[in-house]
Amino acid sequence: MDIWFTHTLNGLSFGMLLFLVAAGLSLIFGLMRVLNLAHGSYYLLGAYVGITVSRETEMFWLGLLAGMASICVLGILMQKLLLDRYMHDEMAQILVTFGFLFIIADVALWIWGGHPQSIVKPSLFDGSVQIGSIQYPVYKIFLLGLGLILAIGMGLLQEKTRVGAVVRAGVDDEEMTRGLGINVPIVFTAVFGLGALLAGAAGVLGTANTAVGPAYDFEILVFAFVVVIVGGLGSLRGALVGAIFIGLVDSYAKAVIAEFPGTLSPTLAQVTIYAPMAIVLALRPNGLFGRAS
Amino acid sequence: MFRNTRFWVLGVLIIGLLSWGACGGDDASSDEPIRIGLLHPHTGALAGLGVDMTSGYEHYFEEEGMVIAGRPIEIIVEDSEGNPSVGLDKLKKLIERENVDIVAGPVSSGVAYGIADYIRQSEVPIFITQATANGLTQGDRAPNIFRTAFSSDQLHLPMGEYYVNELGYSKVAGLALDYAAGHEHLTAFKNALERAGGEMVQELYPRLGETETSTYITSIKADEVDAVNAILWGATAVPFVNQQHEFGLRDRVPLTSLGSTVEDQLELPNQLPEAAEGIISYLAYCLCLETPANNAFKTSYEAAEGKLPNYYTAIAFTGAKALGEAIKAVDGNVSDREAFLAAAREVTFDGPMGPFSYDEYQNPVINVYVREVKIGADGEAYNALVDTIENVDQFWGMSQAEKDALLNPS
Amino acid sequence: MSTPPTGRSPRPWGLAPGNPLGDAIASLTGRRRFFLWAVVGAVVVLVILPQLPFVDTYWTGILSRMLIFAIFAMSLDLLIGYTGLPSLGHAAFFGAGAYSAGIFYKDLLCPDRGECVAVVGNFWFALLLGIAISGIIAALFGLLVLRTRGAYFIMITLALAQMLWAITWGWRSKTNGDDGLSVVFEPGAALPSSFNAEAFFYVVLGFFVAATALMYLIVKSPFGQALQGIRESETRMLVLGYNVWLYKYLAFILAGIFAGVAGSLFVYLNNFVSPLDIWILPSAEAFLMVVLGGPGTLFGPAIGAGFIVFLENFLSDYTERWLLILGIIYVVVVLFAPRGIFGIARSEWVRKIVRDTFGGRQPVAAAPDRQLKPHTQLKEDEPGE
Repeated sequence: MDIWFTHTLNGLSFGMLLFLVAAGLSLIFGLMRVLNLAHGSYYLLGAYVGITVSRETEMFWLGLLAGMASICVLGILMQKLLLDRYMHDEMAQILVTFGFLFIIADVALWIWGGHPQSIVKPSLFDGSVQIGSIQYPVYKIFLLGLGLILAIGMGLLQEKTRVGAVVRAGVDDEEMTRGLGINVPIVFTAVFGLGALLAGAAGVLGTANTAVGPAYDFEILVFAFVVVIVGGLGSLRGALVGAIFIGLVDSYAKAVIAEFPGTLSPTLAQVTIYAPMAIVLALRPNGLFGRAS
Repeated sequence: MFRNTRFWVLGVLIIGLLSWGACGGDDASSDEPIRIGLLHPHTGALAGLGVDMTSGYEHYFEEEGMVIAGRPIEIIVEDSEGNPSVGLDKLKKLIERENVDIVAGPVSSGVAYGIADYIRQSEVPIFITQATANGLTQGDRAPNIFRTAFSSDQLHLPMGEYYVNELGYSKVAGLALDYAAGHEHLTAFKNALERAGGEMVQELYPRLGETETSTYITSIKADEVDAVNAILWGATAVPFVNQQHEFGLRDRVPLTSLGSTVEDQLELPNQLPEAAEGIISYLAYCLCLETPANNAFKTSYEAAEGKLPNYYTAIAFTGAKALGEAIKAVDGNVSDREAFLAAAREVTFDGPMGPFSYDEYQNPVINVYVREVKIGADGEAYNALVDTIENVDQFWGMSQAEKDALLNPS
Repeated sequence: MSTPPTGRSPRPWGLAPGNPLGDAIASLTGRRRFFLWAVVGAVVVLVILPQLPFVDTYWTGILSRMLIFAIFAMSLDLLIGYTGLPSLGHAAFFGAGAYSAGIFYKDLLCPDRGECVAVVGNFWFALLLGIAISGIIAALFGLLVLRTRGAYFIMITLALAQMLWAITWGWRSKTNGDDGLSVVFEPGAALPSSFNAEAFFYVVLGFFVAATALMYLIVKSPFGQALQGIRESETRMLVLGYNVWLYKYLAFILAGIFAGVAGSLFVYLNNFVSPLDIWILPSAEAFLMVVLGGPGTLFGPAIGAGFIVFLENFLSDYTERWLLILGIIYVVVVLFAPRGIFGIARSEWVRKIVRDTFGGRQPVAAAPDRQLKPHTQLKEDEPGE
């Protein structure tokens, strides 16, 4: 049973990382109806910027800050200069964001090369703790806690503050919000920047525990897609529940296959994250927490 | 009809552009350079390996002044993207349009299988720089297919006995990446272990490109095995070594690995030194080798490129030297293919990876080096040589029946 | 037959007055006449092209590839351009066709090399099976994806294609995993060996002409008109009594089938197919081919496909940064040519050239513009199926 406890913790901490990426994707869509296919690239680029800065300065937190800031700026630029023009043009959005998926992937390969790289964890969260009979990494627990705190914080921001009220109003009825004299474009830009920032942060935080290399942008994007399909686009709660759910499913599926070798290829096991997605879609086409049509 | 000038101008422009694009090189005569087509992935998931290998390959010819046996060498690099379909297209381009005399590459076994039929029919000599799929020099062998690296099996064949007899590990849990090469590697190790009387207790296959390895580490049955063998590389090797340290895996069971899990200049700089320290690994190369050939290679490569070579540049350099020696043996006359292939089979030299020669199926006979990760005075981790197993060919330790089954699959 | 129009319009060669065909051609307006000439001209050029001295076997192979991807892009246009369904996972059906044609040929019809059940016609049988499987998979996926719309549709098509990719990767016993499926078609399997690039090109050309004609008939039929109606407004079509879901479902299956045709030909061209042919990149490239050529124009995506394949192979002489260039093309197309190449072709100055060159009774501008508006809004607020 200890093993399954560990698998649960693993799934939860991976889920929290997915939440950081999916929350931005979901919020941006909810407010602007923009499906950002370059969202996984924010993770990748954030990670690489974090790697370079933290290596040069030997300070993890500076790397995290640089990764977040640079991706935030990139997101704002993309939104202001390109996506803003194509607010209701779905085809153009796909093309622009897909274009950036490729551009960022190739530029990152050009600059940082193709070998996978990692970031040295902050020494504060080095080592592991003893939980009962098992030894568990402190950093993973930190990720878990941080994800939860961010989720609660963002939930409070959305539900209890004026800023959140404006955003919610924008989601519900953009024209009406504009009519009330609220500067909607600024809200749009701010939310896009925040979404990008979260993805960049996830990139740095996630890479400190693992590694990043070419094609990881797309991998994260597909995971984030499945999360928001399950949870429902535009819903923060949906992103959280979807992320935890997919994180756990992924962890358990890998564990089960490890227990019964030879039955299934682990790559085929990736299908296990699509199965719940298909079931949710069949029952609730807008996801668990997506707004009913 | 058609009296509008703009129409004609546009038409002429288009035809002109097409013919400009379609014009290829002409046939090479003996005074012209030897054209070598290099098919390596420079983009895609294998880009890191491909770029390093191109660098190592070109370094050999640059060292020779881009002239071998009096004939200038021209290297035409095409990017296979690690994608078999693209690789096949680019190979056709190299052979049919660039009229290359010799092909070198690819890195990915998938690309190698994708181009195998075509290369057999075209009869152009190919020197596979890295793709380790066993079949290429066994059941799918051809007179014009050479491999200058090694087969997937080869690294693991002598390790069964080594694990059981030298290290004393007869029950092992193995990890390898879930793709064709990963399966070949772990299966080879398992067979070798069983031949030596050991037992493979557990096999784990993380997804290729998987960076979240905690689940696999948690699943390892540390209490039931003598050792773990992690046959990983790249994006999975880095987090695996770091995360197993946090999970305290090595407090419970010794960790060994294929060298590519903890290779100098590649994975090691991204791993925590204390996490990697003490890992025993084996590979066909070690940066630590103090042979004259390796020292010369390290010095000249660092002088030219400003950084130390790595495992992949060493493999590529060795492959380029095997090709260069073959060209020298026929005095630059590569257009007589029969003579060139015959001479290529006889090539021997001392390279950075050790003595080089082919077996009768055009796959090299290699040394397997056992190394241990140590921490230097500067606090950086590096691999130190522990042991050398010499003259390992692709059938090492196999019975005649096993060998026949591999060479002539039904 | 009406009398020939004014003297500006010369009669087609060799067709005397009174000849019905000649009259029919002569009666066409400038735009339609241009269209006819363009089609005839394109086929003639394609037939002659491999015979030209500067087109070597390599370029003949590339031409075959262009035609195969043209079929693929046109099949995606049935979804994007005509039905308004932006699929980002269309390579799933391309790959399904390629894999099933290959596996059927290899495992079922020719289990051991050279010992085929019946050599002649095997390829055609495998091809048919490949196309059928594509259709079946499209029918299955269609049940899921058509429950969604807009952004969900994009994500679910992409995710399902990824699932198929994972299956080709993981089902090693059938697909040979990431090493790819190598299928050597025996010469005499009713088709010339694909090593003979030229003969294969003409086979592909035949398929291309047939597939294009079929798709043209589909989009011009009442069925195709209904699809375009759905693209413009589902609600309106529902009110008019159309079974919107069924129309979309059939369009999805048809698109899958034609993608399967392209995929089956592709495995014959390469003798090989790997999971990467199902991956995101081919889907994304097909998407670009459609938008670059002009969605909803059918021939535009074919031209877009030719352009992208040509550019990819042409540029590899000069740079490895293909992905970067591809990404830039995406952004540039959105900024400068949102209606694709055909959108440019319909601009006023091009029309004037066409009028001047081919004559015609009336200004072409009066012709209704059925160009897809690039404003397919997300219809989140519309009722579901």
